[in-house]
Amino acid sequence: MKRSLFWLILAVTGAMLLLGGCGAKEQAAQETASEQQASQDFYAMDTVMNITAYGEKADEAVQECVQYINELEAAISRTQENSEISQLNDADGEAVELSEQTADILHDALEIAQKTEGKFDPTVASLSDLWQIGTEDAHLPEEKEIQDALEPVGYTKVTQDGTSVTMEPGTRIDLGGIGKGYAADHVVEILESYDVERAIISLGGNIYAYGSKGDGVDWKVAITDPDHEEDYLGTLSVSDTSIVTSGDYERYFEQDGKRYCHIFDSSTGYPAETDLRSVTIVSPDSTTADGYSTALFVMGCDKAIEFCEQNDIEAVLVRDDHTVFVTDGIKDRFELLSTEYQYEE
Amino acid sequence: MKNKLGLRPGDFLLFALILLGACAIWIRFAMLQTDQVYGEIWQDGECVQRIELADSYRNTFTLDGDSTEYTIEVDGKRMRFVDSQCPDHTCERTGWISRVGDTAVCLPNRVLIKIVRADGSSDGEVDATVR
Repeated sequence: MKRSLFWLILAVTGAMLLLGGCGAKEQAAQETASEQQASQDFYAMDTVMNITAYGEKADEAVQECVQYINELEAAISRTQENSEISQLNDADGEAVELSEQTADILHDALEIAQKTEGKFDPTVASLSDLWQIGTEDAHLPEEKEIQDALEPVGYTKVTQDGTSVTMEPGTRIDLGGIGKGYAADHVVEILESYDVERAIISLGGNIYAYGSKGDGVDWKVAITDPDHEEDYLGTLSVSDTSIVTSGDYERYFEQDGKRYCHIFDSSTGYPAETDLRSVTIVSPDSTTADGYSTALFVMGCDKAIEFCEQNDIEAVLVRDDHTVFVTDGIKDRFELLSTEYQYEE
Repeated sequence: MKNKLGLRPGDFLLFALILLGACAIWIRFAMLQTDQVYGEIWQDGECVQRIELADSYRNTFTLDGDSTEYTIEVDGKRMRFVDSQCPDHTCERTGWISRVGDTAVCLPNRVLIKIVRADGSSDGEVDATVR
């Protein structure tokens, strides 16, 4: 009798433990049901993107974000023949009426250009086409070719009055420098409209950490080591902000031992010659973060630091002498991981 | 000494075996949950290869991409693009990826490689990498 009782107690205890385990799984499943995860990799704007969102309507939200980015690309791409920007670039001095959204992003681009005195310039399309950096045809052009390509470059050659835009003949717009940042800001608006609680938006390496990771814990975003792309330079612990980097290590070519990166200096017609390897901007406004990361890279370290101080910009600047400068506002959020770099003294 | 529960020696053996079996299942389950990582090759948004990564595993995969042929080398628990026929070779410059959540991409071929956990998640030591 006692023996039977022993096995009965063992069986009941086992069953309870098993059910307890299932119960925990069920609870997790219920939590997942109320906080559904949706993640999608997709190609747009000549890069790979991923949006991972958490919330009851995360799936619908992500689908709408993907659709939005595709539509935005169709409007602002300068390589798609029928895009608004292609029509503007082909207008040969005539006024062109843009949609409100395309006019809005162009307005942002021109504003950033003005604020950075052309260090970010959305009219460098002719230089990109000449140098072909990032393609197998990348090469060092003749000096005359560079000067010819430089002729139509300059944000002051663009006149915008609301949605009506006129450019000097030959001037061409390329919104690639802020397109992903602009997209990220609007993706965040879409996620908000679907009550998404948190999300990581990665648009070709531009990150938007939306909300917090959970329970007030920050997202951890790594900054790429410019010398070893597979390694991390350091990490930033952030919530509700975008992080955008411009560097010389992704698209470039080398000739006679010299590296030519894809970021142009509109005052010379050459790829930026700078003492910076990368600039990372941390800002809730991803559009300006995108534009400023390019501009600060072109400025060089000293001017970039000055610009950050004058405009309350938070940034991580990586110099070619392996020193790292971090602005005061994010010092306690940044952790330097690579032993090959040290903080600027 | 008299057994108060009236259990026989065989009962103790059975009990020990059940306990041992439960432990083995639990350990295997725990290992699957935490350690096992996979390398995935995605082409045009479709997973075309899923590789169980292990220290002793070596292989290369040569596949046809959207634009050219591409090759991926797997060496233990890391993988990378090699000898790519694509125009810009940016994918090769990314080097090895080895951490859960790491990705590398060959844009001309629309190929993405990534390291994920057994359940397909990519929760790693960082949540995202800015480039």
